[in-house]
Amino acid sequence: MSIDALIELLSEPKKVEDTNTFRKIWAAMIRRAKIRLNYKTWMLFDFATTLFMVFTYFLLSFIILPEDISKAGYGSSYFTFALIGIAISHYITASLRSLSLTIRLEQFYGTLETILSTPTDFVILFLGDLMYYFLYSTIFLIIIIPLGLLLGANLVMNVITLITLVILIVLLMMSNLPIGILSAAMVLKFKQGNPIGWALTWINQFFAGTFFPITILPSFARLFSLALPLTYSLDAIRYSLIWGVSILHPRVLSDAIVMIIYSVVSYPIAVKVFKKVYDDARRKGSLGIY
Amino acid sequence: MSVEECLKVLKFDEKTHGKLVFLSRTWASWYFQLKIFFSYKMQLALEVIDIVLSTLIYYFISFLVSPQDLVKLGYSPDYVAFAVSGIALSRYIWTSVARLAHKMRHEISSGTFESLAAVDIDNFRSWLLGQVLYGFTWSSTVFFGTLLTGFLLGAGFTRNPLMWLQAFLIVILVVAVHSAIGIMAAGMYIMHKQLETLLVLMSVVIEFFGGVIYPLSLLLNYPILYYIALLIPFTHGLELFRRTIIDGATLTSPMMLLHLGVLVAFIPLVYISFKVFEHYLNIAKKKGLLSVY
Repeated sequence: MSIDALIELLSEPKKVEDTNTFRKIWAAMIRRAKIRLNYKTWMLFDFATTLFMVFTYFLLSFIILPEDISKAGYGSSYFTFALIGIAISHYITASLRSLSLTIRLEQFYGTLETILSTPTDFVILFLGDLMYYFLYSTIFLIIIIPLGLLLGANLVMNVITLITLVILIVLLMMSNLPIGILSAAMVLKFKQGNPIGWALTWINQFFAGTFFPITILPSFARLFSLALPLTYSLDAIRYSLIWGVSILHPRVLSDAIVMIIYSVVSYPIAVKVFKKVYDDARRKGSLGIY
Repeated sequence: MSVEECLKVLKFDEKTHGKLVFLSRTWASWYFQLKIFFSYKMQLALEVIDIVLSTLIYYFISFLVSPQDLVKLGYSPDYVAFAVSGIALSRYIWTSVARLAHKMRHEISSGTFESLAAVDIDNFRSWLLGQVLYGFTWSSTVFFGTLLTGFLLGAGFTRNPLMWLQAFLIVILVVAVHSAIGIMAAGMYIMHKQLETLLVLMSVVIEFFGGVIYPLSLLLNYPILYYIALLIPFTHGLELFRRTIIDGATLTSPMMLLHLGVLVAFIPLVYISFKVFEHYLNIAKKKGLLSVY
């Protein structure tokens, strides 16, 4: 019997779902939050690590000259520059790693096959996870920004910059998500979860200039930086928060347009690749293997 | 039958075990762990990327650092050497402090820890020692990789072989003291399973107060933080290591002697750590808690 005949024989006709999709996404988000809240010490560790990072870069800023930061257009405070990088690093991790992490965890616990066999679309479960990580990262942002202000960071916080920040964060996640989807496809294919996602996050953060302006990179490395959506996300968020400008400012707007182009072009490609790998894994029955 | 009687009946005859057998088992425990690590080739490749990237980050940050400020704070103007030496030595912290507990969690969750701990005590000690040695091997590889990358990027390290010998002795001392904390914590972990996360947190705290990427003297503006930093052995180890490989300072200078004295004062922890570990292991064996997680 061929694989296709077997699938047809075992497949059930799709029933009309009564439950609202948003409710399902909400439920998936609550599910992830409940699981994560069980590991309170890990959450404590996560927060403490970030706070120590803020203090480390605060101390480092005392021996940093402002010239290069200023030349790149980010004012004269290295601490402010680094603080924004640290504050949004959780959103970066969420968009680049949440899907691969979800798949890897389900693979590891042997529940991936079961979850994917339920009538609920995996995209819904994933969106729920993504929402959880988005809210989790927002808590970090809410803690880090006031802490940075207390330590003397020069951030302009008003209604306009806050609205701009929200829009830019959504664009950041949308434009980086395709890389996260490709990373998840690699997890399904190669069964090597954490290292791939982790490496992608670090390579992205390095070339996009999380801890230093990309203007100090050699020109060949800068070309690579300019190919990453995160470079534009970081630039727009920094420029807006440091100078207090809205999304309509030409520099921020051009960054936002690049992020939109990235999302529109790369999202269908990433989904197509993921779907192919996912269908292959289902056909071969290798979803639960790790 | 009491627990003690039960243990006596099931216990192995320890006399059948010589030193040679103990060492070969230690070697086997080290070697099998190494083989597992080398079987994950992608993980290996990513470790290399991690070494290079983390060094490169501080290489580029060094363009922003003011050499005059570093000199004012009592260090050499070479920030690449400063940061690379800090990152390299900090690679030992997690493996010394938290890796053993992490490994035990792995064995416990895989259901193999009870079998390991149920064998005679010599076997278990050799396993434990093999794991500590593996952690040291792995960290040393990353340590040398980081120093080499830094050197290739132009970090100004001393070229005096005697200074490198001194640096090697300092590293051994730092690892011994922090492994003692790790062994003690691993013992406590058998009873208190939440401890692993706290150990990872502890390594973050140690790295922060040790001044891995910033000069410790900056903490003088915050006296409480500065005094906390002085209570941590890693702070003294890193100062000794940096002064040795960057400035070529010998252990005879008063400041170096002071740091060395503080570090040596922590050495009795090594003996205490094994006692603490065995104490907790025995309690767990008697209460049947070895496989609980």
